[in-house]
Amino acid sequence: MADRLLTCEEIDEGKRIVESSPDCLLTPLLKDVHLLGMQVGGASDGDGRKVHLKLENMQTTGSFKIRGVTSQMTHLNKQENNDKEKKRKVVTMSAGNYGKAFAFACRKHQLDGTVAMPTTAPESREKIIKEFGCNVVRVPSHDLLKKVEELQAEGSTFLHPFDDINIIAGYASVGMEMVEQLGRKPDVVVVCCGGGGFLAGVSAGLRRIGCTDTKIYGVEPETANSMQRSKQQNSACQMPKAHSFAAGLAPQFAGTICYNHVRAYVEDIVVVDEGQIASATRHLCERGLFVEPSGAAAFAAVMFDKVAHIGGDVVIIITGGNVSPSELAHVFEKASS
Amino acid sequence: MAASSRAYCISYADIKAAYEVVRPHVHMTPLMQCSSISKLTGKNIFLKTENLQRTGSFKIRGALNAVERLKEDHSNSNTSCVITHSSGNHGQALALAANLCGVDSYIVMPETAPLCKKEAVKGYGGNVVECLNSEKSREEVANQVMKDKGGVFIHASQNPRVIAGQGTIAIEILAANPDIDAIIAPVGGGGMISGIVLAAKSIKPSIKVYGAEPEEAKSCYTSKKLGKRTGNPQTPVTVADGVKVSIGENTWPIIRDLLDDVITVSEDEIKAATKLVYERAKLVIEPTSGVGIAAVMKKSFMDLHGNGEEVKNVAVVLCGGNCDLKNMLEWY
Repeated sequence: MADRLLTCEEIDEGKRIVESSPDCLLTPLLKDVHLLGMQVGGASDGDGRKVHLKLENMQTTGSFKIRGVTSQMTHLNKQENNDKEKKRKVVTMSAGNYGKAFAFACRKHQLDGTVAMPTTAPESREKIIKEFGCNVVRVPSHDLLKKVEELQAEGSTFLHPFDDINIIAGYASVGMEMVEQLGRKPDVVVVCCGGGGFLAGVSAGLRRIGCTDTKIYGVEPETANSMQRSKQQNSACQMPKAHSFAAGLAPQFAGTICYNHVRAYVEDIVVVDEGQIASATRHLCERGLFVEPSGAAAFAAVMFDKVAHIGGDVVIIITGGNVSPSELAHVFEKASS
Repeated sequence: MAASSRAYCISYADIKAAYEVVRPHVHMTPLMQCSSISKLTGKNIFLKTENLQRTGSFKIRGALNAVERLKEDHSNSNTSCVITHSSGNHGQALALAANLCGVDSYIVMPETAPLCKKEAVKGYGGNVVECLNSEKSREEVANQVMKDKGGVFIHASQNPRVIAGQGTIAIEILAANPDIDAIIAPVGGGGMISGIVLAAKSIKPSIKVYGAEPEEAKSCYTSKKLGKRTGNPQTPVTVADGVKVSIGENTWPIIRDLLDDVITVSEDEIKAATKLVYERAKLVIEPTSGVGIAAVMKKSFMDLHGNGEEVKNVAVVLCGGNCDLKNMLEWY
């Protein structure tokens, strides 16, 4: 388990599940965004660089997470439900986009779901999840895992929000889709990184579809760089003090299965600061795209020249758009340029 | 009535020629399918995302076509300079178009125009000339600039080259999806809708084209109803600030003869539609773009025009995304 990587069969199955699910959309790939006036980095465009955006903010539930959740729940449904009279019980921990996708999917797949979230999470998150018919239980951050274990003991199946081989298999579909949409192999792909599940899946998918030379970069906030540290230390590490206003990118540890894939496939992890994330968010908004700060981190890395070897076809993944205009207005005040 | 049988200020050939001019400089914006709005209307809804266009609106198309052809059109004037009055998207578009063609631009704007709009014009290399916040002052100051600098005045909606440029939107919609059987777009001065209807019906005569207007500024609707060109009230009050102007003498004949219908929508409907696009499509649009979405979602429209088999795939033009988030927060 320690060095577990997705197999080709698992990746193909993940893609099949996502493609055949009415819940997962084929999101647009916005090509050659320089023509739209998007400033992406200081390097001149005379070097033939073309930047493309994969718009997962337009995915069902507003982020890419539904792909992973759908894969997880399809695998779950294959298992025996011991109590056929009642709905199967599932539990997770997430105040963010995973929680929203989880709640949406619980309703779709007829599951009795509970989401554990920290007491510090905003009211609006709880409201969104409850509107899908999911239960919410709030506990202090350090007690989340304990609460989950309690519910497991009572018969719920735990679905990990990112360090899960089935989730990562679902995300691999994005890596493969972008190549099909682009019509050629990208030279560089830049991905936002929180726990690392999405980065792991996208990179596995790219390799599966034959992009062996594509350079893949993960981007973290500098105050929540658990994956960067993991790469430096050669093992998945914890970061109890991880924090960022881009909350989706600041879990307190890098996933173990996630780290295995990052170590195998990812060129490097780079970091951006708050001001840069805010600038990227505003830049995208001014050009017509509704993106949450966590979803703009990869764009920020390219915008502020954090990625080496950036030439040819560059695909940046816009991972989510779950933010309100008033939250955005506050974010813009932090912009560094 | 065949699109080519009347003498309008432009022909379909002019729109095709405009496409050759603008194509290298503008983005063929995606025609995005929106499943949430499709579910709500029972039709396949496609969004022509001109909010993603260079300068944040479709206006760059008309502005570019006009500026590129200056020497042909105005051989007796000073063609090193263009002028307009606009605090909106046309001002920004003209500034960029002029920049791309190596020509100076003077954009007359009310001193009360938002700073971000003045900055945007300057950012594209245009000169901002301030006037007082009235129709009279705008025209006076523009006339003065023309006297001082010479140069050519480019009207935002009645200039034939501008209208032809806007018509290229229809060429792209039908190239992206030939199965589109209806197009809806907001109407202000009518530059966009008249270009679109002329091109669309030339390419696909069976296609339906509808205009969408705020109830508070429905010059196009009223004109069609009365059979004669009628203007908006003096100062219409609507959140859709891009369509406050009335249709004009060049756009009216095309609208009169070719446009299938005009749908009007309330302020609440415009706001709800704008919010829906933000929340579901994750696109940033200005409220004026919400007018088209509100129209396609109106039950009266779907009952009247949508029941038959002939209207299944509807393209709605999201005309722009230049909005001040802070202003929107007041009603969001």
